[in-house]
Amino acid sequence: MPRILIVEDNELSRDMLSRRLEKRGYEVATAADGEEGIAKASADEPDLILMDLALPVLDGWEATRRIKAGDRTARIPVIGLSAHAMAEDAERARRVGCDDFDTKPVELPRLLSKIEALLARRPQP
Amino acid sequence: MELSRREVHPLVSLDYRVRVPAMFIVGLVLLSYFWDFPKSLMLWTAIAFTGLVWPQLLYLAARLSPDSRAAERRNLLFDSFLLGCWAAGMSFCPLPSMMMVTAILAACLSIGGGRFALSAAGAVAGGALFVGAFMGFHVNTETSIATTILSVLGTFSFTAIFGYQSHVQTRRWLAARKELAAQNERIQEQYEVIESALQSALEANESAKQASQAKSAFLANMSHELRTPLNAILGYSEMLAEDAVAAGHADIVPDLQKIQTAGKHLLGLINDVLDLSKIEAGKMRLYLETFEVKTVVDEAAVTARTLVEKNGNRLEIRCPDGLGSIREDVTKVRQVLLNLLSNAAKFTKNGLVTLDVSREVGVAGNWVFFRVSDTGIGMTPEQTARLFEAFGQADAGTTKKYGGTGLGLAITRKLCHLMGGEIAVESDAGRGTVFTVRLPGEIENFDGDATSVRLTTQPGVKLPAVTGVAAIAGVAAPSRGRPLVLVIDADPAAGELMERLGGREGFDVAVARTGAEGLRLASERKPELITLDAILPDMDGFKALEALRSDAGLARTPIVVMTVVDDRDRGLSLGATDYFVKPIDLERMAAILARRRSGAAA
Repeated sequence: MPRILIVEDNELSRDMLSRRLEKRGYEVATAADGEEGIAKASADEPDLILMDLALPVLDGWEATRRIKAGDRTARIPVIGLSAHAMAEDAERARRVGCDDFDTKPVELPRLLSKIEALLARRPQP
Repeated sequence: MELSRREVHPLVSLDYRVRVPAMFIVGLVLLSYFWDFPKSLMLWTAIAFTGLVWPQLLYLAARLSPDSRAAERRNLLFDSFLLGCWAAGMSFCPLPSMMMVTAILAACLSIGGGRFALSAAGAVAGGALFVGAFMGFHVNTETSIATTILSVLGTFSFTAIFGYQSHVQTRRWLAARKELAAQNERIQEQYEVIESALQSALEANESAKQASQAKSAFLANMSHELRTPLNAILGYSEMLAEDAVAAGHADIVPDLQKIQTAGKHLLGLINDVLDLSKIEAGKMRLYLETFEVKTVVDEAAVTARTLVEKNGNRLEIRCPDGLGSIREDVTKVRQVLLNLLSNAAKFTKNGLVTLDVSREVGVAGNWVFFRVSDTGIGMTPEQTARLFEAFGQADAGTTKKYGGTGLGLAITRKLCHLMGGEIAVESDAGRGTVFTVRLPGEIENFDGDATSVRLTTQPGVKLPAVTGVAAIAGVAAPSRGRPLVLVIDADPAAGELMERLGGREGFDVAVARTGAEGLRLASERKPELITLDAILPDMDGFKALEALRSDAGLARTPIVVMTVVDDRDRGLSLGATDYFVKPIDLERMAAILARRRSGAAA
């Protein structure tokens, strides 16, 4: 089963998103800030990361940049999540290395299609 | 002119008042000097002339002259010449000569200054040489007692007069200086008052700006804080709905969906408020790129089509090929178009929504126009007036019936302004609405990292009007029943003028830029009145006039020629109803329209 890492500081959002993804068969790990996100990304090497971009300790922009700079984590697809549908956020997310971008509140069908598209692209082992 | 001839320079009247007694004294001195000479009529006439007539003559000359001050200075030189003549005539007898020359030089010095006094001295010498040439130059030192006394008395009086005059002048000068100083002080005081008022106005403006920005920042933060719990409400209610179906509680799903609908509305509001506050705080950035106009129009059309067709409407896109590209923020242009299209879709049922795109390049610059017209419920003028204000939806009932946050059009207008454009609305209650957006077709000197586009337009160039008259006529004319004026003129100014005039007089106005288009529109639309320029890009306007007249359907339609070509007879002989030479006499044109309007209504 594909493993997804959710990096999200808000407890309710984290809980909600992980439960909904688990219900659809994904194996979900969570992190509450950017530091923890990077640590879990390199320890577990998940198949995909959902990264909230406004995070405490280390924000999602910087965390994504570091994940994309790491030897073993660079290949992991990252979907940036931001609270508001501003074109500039999407643009900036791509600049720091996000493979895709979506807005919160999450519209599950749309997010699922983005997740599936990125997972389909990964090299088959 | 008449006035300045009657109003003489103060110098003239002053000199006249001095000259009358002075010349009288001179006359007396001459009379006493020549008393013992052989009596000659010519001599006595000359003395009488000098003493009595001369001052009147000079005064008259100065009065008649257009520049009385210059005339008076010439008069003083004549005085000098005359007195020079008499000095030689009296064989330079010292005392009377001294009296006369001193007096005239003092007068010239006090009025015209050193250089003028030198000219006067020259005139004195000239007079002396002139008379000396006839009578020879001898010096007579012998004088009678009477002449001596008169000369001394004359010298005293002249000295007294000029001395007193200079005293008066000095006092006047001192008074003027004092008054000037007082005035300066008053001006200084007023200046300080103005300065401090300006300062406090600037400060007030600055603090108002800061307050407004603080408000916007607060709203932006608030929106963010509101959105987080709202996400949870939306997410959990969605999860609950899924679980409820799975657990066999389908009956509670409608209630859960109501939570979701209300939550989504709230989210829309929050997002709009955030957009608005970002724009107001100057934090909305523009990301400029060059893109095809047609591309963004097609994208917007694809997104909007479902929305438009939901209410049984038809969506029509009129976007000619070859519109070219513009440099703008593509996301914001798309947002503007989508807002207008979804707005039109919302307020129209079983009708037509049209997006009409055009480009105008002219002296006023390069502009792209987007017109969104609908055949929906329309608005009254009172409603359109508040339309672009936040929460300015036509009324509370509208919000209930048609939904929406009431912020969409406020945001749309702000976005248009941000991009250097403008938006306007025209509407007719019950018939439809036209929104017209004008965006700059090219933006120069823009670094791509600013919060708004500033246009560098030349002063005095009037930007093309943001008007939807032609578009609204094109969409809704058959049902509107307003009579039509067709303007066949290549000059956009003429079209604009007639749109304004015609609109005011209750006409719809259609503009054709070429003769061919004009002939086509005339036979298709059967206008109530046609205006025609004699110079058209594709044909002779008089030929067009003949062609219009030969169309049986237009035989009785009034055709008014509006042109720079002054060939009234030819126009009228070819069947023109009236003939205007540009620039157009607005009142006459308005009268023709008004007459036609009442005729059409009858």
